[in-house]
Amino acid sequence: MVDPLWRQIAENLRERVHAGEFAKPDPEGWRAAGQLPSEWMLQDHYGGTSRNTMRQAIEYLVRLRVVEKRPGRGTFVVETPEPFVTDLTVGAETETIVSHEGRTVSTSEPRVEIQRADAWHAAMLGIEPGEAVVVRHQRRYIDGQPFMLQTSFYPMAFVHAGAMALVQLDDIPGGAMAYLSETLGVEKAGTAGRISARPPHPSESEFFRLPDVGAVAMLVHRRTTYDGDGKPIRVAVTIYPADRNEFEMIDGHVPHRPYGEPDER
Amino acid sequence: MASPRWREIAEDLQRRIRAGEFSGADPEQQRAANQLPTEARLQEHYGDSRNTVRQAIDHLAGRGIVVKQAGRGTFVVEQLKRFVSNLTVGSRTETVEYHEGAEREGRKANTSEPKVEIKAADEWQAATLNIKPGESVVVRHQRRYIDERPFSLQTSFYPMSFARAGAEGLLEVEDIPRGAMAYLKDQLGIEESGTVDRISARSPTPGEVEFFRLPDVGDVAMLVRRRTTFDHDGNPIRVTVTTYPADRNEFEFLTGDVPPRPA
Repeated sequence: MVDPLWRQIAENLRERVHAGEFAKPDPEGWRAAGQLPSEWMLQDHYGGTSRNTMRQAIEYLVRLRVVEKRPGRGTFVVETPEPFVTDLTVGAETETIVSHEGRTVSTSEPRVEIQRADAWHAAMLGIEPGEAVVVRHQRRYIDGQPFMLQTSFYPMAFVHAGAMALVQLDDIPGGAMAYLSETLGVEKAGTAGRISARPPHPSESEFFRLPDVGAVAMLVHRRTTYDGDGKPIRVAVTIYPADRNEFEMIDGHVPHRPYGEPDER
Repeated sequence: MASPRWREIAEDLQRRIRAGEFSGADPEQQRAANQLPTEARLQEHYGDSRNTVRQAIDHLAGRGIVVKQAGRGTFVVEQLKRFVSNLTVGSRTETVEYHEGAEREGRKANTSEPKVEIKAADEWQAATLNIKPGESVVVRHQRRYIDERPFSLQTSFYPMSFARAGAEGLLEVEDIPRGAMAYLKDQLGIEESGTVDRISARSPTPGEVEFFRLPDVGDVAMLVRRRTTFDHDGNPIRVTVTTYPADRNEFEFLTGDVPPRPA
């Protein structure tokens, strides 16, 4: 099936954007750096195509966050900032943000809920559906910009057994795993991490101030921590918008960052 | 701007398919499992012409979301069973893990013959391989399938100087037996010391939409894994970029002792 004309034009424009054609200002002063030619110039370039078709093509690229409109100024290529890099290297104690030293990372106070386990929680935590689960949500910001949402799930049985800090509205000093070890003698033996990607939920679009549903994927990192008997202690689900985040894993000996490596085009 | 009516219908149908509305049989509507309602019923439901409904269905068929079976009706294409790539491969090569991972699930992994290109390094390739822009780079592409379905695309970049120094196997249009790293060690004494993986996600390119038969751009994200392999002096030997549609792929990595994954 042949794509409609607006779509063909959009794909061609996208290639031109990625090839850097509009990065520098036009020598004759028609365009600023990063600016697209005017609508009528583009119409002309694409064989005198209609204004309508041209607009459809540009709207589409706006939806995909390839370009953005600046009121009164024109259409510009969206600049992608350096991503925040989270180190998921096997064996690393906790996730750490390895890029952007000198930036301020802040975390919201946890929001704590007690929920009845649905089938998903139950399967993840190895408990029965309907049993109680402690859910702790945290929002993280870098320099005030929202960059991740983390939700941790624990069996409520830990609280009944004396681990009261799990239901307190404070960070658990030293981390939950150290706390559970001290309080209940529950020891971590290993973790299984999963990474997937999906479109954002509306609440995520709102929190991360995403342009439009679908344009930016969410990277989902789910980590299950097991004790020595293979029983899950915790499931932590962390959501990262892919427009500002990457993961990194290192194996063996490699040179120090930044490895001389720029970001992918 | 309003999109054409057939497009709106196609998007709505896609949403209903994803929500599982047509997964069960419906005797009242004379629908089998995974069958779309008849054209006449869809016309009635959307209040549109036969032509418009057909355009919408053709669009979905063109994207591999539904398939028309002559004389029987239109059916939803089965969702692909998720494949989990284990990123904690230890001493095994990624390719070996890929095949073994599929076998553990009772599935079969295949790769296409490599497509080999020599290209002048662009800025990104030059910086990652620590060479100058414009120097030659060997590019090897492979398409990877599981149970005959497209699951990932892999592209590896090597400095052309390796081929000139005697590793001509990099230029051959066939798999390098035992893997490129073992080959480079034998031929040139270049040894792998470590790897850095970067994982990101982005929208698919038009080529990826076509190869993976994805629904419209934006609905399914691509997971992108970029692995750089370094030698003992910290020089990059290879950069491999693998792209995986997120509707059928997940990554897994393990530390310490964890129970085996249920089948």
